Amino acid sequence: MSWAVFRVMLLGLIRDRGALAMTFLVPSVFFLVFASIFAASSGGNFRPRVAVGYDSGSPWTGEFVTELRSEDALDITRVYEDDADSVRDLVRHGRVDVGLLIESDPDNPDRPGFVIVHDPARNVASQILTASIQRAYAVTFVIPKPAAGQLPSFAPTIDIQAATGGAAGSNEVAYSAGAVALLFLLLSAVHGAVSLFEERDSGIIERLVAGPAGTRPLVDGKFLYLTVLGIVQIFVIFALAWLVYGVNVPSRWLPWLVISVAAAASAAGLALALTTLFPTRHQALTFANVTVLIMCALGGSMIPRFLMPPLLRQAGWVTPNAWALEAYTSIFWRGDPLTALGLPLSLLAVAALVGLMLARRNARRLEAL
Amino acid sequence: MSVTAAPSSADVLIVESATRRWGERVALDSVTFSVRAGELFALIGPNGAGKTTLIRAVTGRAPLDDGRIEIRGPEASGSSKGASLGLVPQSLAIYTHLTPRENLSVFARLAAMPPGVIEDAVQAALERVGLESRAGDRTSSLSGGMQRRLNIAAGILHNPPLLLLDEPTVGVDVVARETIHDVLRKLRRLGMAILLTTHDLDQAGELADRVGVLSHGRLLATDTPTRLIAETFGSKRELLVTLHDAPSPSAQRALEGYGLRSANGGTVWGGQLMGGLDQVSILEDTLAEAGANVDEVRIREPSLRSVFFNLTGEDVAP
Repeated sequence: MSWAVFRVMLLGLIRDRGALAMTFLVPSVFFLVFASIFAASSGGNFRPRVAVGYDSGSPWTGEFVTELRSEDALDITRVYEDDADSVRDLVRHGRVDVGLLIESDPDNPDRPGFVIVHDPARNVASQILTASIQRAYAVTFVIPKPAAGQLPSFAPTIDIQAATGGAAGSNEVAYSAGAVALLFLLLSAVHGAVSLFEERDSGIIERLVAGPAGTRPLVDGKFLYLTVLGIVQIFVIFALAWLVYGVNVPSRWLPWLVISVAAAASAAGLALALTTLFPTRHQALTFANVTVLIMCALGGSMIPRFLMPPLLRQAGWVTPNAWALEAYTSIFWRGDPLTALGLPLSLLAVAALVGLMLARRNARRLEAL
Repeated sequence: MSVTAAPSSADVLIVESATRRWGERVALDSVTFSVRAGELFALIGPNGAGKTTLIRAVTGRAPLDDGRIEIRGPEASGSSKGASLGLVPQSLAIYTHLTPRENLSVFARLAAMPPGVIEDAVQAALERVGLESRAGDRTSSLSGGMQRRLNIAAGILHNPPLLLLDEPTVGVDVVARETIHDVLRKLRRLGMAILLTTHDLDQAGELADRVGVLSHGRLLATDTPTRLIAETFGSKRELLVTLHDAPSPSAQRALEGYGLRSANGGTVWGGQLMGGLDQVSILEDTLAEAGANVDEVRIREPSLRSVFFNLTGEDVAP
């Protein structure tokens, strides 16, 4: 008897191409994406992108920079002579992970002083750079290895400064708040969107399709509800970030609100579009959840994107998470005005509209399935 | 027993030579009928007869391969097809976590009714289905029959000239069924044209002004229940013979010789009672000689079920 049930279930799986894909293909893709991301971020393969600015008047800087370049742990992408502002600017805009300014040490004119220009959300880059500076320093200035229990005779002077123009020091919390908010926003939107299947199964969609307005008011109403719910979710998380960690949300409330509306709308549109692609609630929920988790992983909601390999870092730009996080970083870290958010906001708005249009079209088809 | 009739000015729904194919299968085969204002037309047939396809075709969700469907009425002029009809699906197409009043208000808005008329329309619909006293209760706390009436109310909110009902009394008890019948009679008196699909032939016989018999996508007959019965049986009664097993060829010849028929040579055979009761005794003897094991011989007043059996050779589950 048990074999009869086994056979029924096996045939159910074999004859359902959607279920087959969900069972075998989707987990495989999911694994490949997550393995790439986590292996890169936890396996010591992270090479921070570094911009270096040095004082051209110092005789030893060329030698030191050459030594630093030989460090495998660093990816020195830019080197500027006498231009500290460019280095700070690159860090502030996230184009490099950390900056290094090499200056004369006023206390010891024969030796250099170092200023690490850092983004608090990328602390690990600063730590890797600090270790590399110490190694390069020891080689350049031929410092003998200290005896056991003794301090080195010379140690580099390293000052760490935030490259911020906005709420310095709160970027890591603001980033986390945005990352977590986007993750739960998308998951909630998916779970809200699948209620369309309950309405299909109860005959409500059949009734609406026969009526004068069709299913459009139903889909639009869900889009509106999921957007408002998403804004409230984001508000709760950022309120905690403000109250517990001092992220200065009140001073940036308007750009925060605009970003949050755009992010919530894009999540609602994408969730509705994803769920209405499938004929059954189970398929829709599985596919949409997996897609959301992959988007969150690629978009930086689970691991900061700067820790990912370049290919995945670029791939992350196709997700609303990356656009929203870029926008939140822009206002809370760089202190940019609302007018500077044109690109991420436009992308979020386009995602919201395209998702809504697809959901409107698919919902009508849903009734016939 | 008319199958087609010329459209009249009172017709709200006109279906002419409606044909719909699903691949090789013909779901609707040149179906023609009409429903007048203030008339309840019941479409009867077993599952798979084409009732649902016809409803879908009327609502525009299953385009016809041939023929035409027209909906007429005062609300239809200048407005969309959807505004001219109300649909009551077989399933409970309502939100059970809302109250009846909230449900109707939601459906009125989803049907794009002007905000100024919604409150009155909701109240009118509640009164028509007799749910005013429970309008503020959670729908999940209502009885099955009340939920069915709310399902109907959601379909008549915009006072459509044509109401389509798909098995409106499925799963309700006898008392609730009667209440729903009263609601439908009230709507008919208000001038609504009602197209009801059902496989409950007793319901159709009790409620419908006219009945259409649908089988395998073909409309075999349309008329009033009384006339359908009279034209099929005249003044005769119905004879039903139930065998224990499928009949032998000789038993089958005897049954057919008496004018009885059955679907696929099955165990239930029916037809007109020919002659007197002595003829039945002769038939029983003949069947016994042919080795047939007779479970029951029943003689009864013919009903729509008898007509349906006679026309199609099929029985419909009660």
